[in-house]
Amino acid sequence: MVRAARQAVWRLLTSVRLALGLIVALTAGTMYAVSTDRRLFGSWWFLTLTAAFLLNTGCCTWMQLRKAWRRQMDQRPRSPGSYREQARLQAPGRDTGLLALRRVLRLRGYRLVEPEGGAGRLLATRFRLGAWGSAFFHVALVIVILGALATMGTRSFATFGVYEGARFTDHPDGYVTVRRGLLAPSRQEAFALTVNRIDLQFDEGGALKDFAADVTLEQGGRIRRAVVDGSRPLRAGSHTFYKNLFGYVPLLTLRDTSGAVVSRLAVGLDTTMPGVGADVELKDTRLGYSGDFPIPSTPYRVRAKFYPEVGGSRLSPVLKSQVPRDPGLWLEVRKFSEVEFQGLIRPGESAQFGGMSLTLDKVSKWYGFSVIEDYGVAVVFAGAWLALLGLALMYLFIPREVSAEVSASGEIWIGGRAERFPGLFAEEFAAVAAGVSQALATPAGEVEGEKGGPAGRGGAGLDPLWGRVGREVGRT
Amino acid sequence: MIRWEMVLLWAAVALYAASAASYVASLFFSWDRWTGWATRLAELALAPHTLSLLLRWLEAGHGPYLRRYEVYSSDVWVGVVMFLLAQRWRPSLRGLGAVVMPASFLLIGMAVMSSPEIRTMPPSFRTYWLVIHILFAKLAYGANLIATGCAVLYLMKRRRTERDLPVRGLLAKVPDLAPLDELSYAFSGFGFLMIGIMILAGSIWAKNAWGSYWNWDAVETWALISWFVYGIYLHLRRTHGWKGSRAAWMNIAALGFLLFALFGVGLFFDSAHSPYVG
Repeated sequence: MVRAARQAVWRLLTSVRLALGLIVALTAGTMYAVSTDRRLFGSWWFLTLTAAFLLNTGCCTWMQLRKAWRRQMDQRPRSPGSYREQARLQAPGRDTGLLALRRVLRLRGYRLVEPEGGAGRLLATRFRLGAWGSAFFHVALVIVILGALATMGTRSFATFGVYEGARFTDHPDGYVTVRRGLLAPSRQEAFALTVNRIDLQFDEGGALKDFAADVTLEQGGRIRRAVVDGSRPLRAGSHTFYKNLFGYVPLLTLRDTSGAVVSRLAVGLDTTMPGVGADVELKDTRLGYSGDFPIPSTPYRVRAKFYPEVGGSRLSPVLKSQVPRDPGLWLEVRKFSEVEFQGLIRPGESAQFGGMSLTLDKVSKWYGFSVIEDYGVAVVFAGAWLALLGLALMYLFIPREVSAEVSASGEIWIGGRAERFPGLFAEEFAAVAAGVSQALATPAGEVEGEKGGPAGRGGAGLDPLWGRVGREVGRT
Repeated sequence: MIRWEMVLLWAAVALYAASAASYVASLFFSWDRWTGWATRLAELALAPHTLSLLLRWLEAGHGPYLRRYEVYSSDVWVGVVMFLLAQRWRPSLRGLGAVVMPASFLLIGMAVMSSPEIRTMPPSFRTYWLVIHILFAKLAYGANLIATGCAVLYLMKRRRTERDLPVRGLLAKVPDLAPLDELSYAFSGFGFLMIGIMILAGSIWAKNAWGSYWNWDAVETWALISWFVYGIYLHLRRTHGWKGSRAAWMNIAALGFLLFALFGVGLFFDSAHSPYVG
């Protein structure tokens, strides 16, 4: 009873139908999630499907490995009836027949095995390693899924921004966003990152193309200087710093009626990504970069639009380009709902309102980084490469086998089979038989393929799958 | 230089059109002699097409993989080269031209109708993983187009055989039903490998650029979906013994998924691949 139940469970777990059902369900789930809400990829049902697929693939893999191992170890010739392709030829004698067979099969890339105690018998195999393709692929799938789960569980992701010339120290309160997997280990060594310089690249039309940061990283007593940009992340131990955002920073000074400094403001405007940040939004490049911020310790709020290169008039400015050649800051200062000032100021100019003044001192820049630790990524990539190796073995190296027997009177029987693509193998088998027939008909036993003809390796070399098709021969 | 490039591309379009028409004529009207002409026209079309792509490469300073104009044109080039190599390897596959050449003509037609404006390459694209990613995307397209070509010819030949109609002209020259069916399977297996390498190279690139090897981006997710669909097709053939008509129909459907992933998704969804399809 228990044994029967165990067998039933094992049958279910190794069922190809279950595998197909799960692949279909995962495909449909992926299509649904990508067209509705991508957070569904982390939902319980998607993770359950993935776990079931992992279990099913693991069990199927075990079966595949056992099957491939058994096949690899089995060197015995099969019974003649098990060969789908068969041909009969006549040679002058056993030795001549065997010689012709050996030459043709070697030319076509077959490895010859002389079965023990089998005088006049020959077994030739090609691409035996291809039998491991499916097992390799399934092992690799299991590794990829485990790696993906490791990524989900242990990955940590955080973003932070640093003004040009400023220093960021690794502290939980300093990050803008933090996402950590349930099993993510805490960082062993805190770091400090200083942005020495920010370099901008623009295209011919004056649009921002890339932004690079020259940084100094201090960690565990070591100091490193490097450049971070779109194609050069900074790797430091288990974590890596990536380019994330860039923005301009208008530096403002608020003064009271006596001219004394009340406060200094640095307004980090997000100038690369729309919709990022609570009160900063890039709406339209023609309008410039806008932000809405309060002036500390006053009842005033300021709506600002920044123009790296301003055009148009003071009342209706337009963005000429994103190159900071002629910056301008359009301000609307409000006290509750009352507008106290509206207009454009350039560096050194001030906005006057309620007896106070707000001066644009200069324009600086800030750089946004994402810092990521991911312990599953190496596993995923190792599994993916192995999967590709398995696929290559499955579809480029098809295992095939030719068995032959030559009687003392020279009667030749040839049988052949391939693990997949029997129709295509039939053509190759016909070419082998034609080659043997031709070798027997030529006095010196010459095979046409040795001169690059159809029966020999000259053709096979062009095609790793099946070789060039030779002339037709009669099949029994 | 753009003017010469366009002249050459239009010459290639005209030759592709003539080749496609000749193949279709030889398929439906059994005009045997046209098949040879159709192949020669396809080979001839490659000359202006190759020159046009090279001029574009020189002018833009990067490979033909930004904007629809470049992507579609280079995809057609790879598809036609793969078809011509396949029919050299196996002359009986010449009949595939009746599927490959009209499809190539349509795609290159879409290329010439889109904007030829040159787009500068975003900095994140400056990596050799991008070249690998794109190269294998094109090989996947070419291999699976040929696989589907075999499936279509299989269905046509089988239909005539089942209805006891004479199999003449181009159809008579393509391989027998069983090898044709298996060729479709073999090319799909090769294409499956190519899609796999494309996805992997793309994820390595994404990891280096953004820190995450998988972002559930619309294009990458649809590429994964099409890989799943081909996986189901291959699984059904390998373990459930699917072959013949139903396998051929599934192959045609799978190509639909791949074409949507390569050419359709970027038109309907926001994606990191927007510079590529925009």
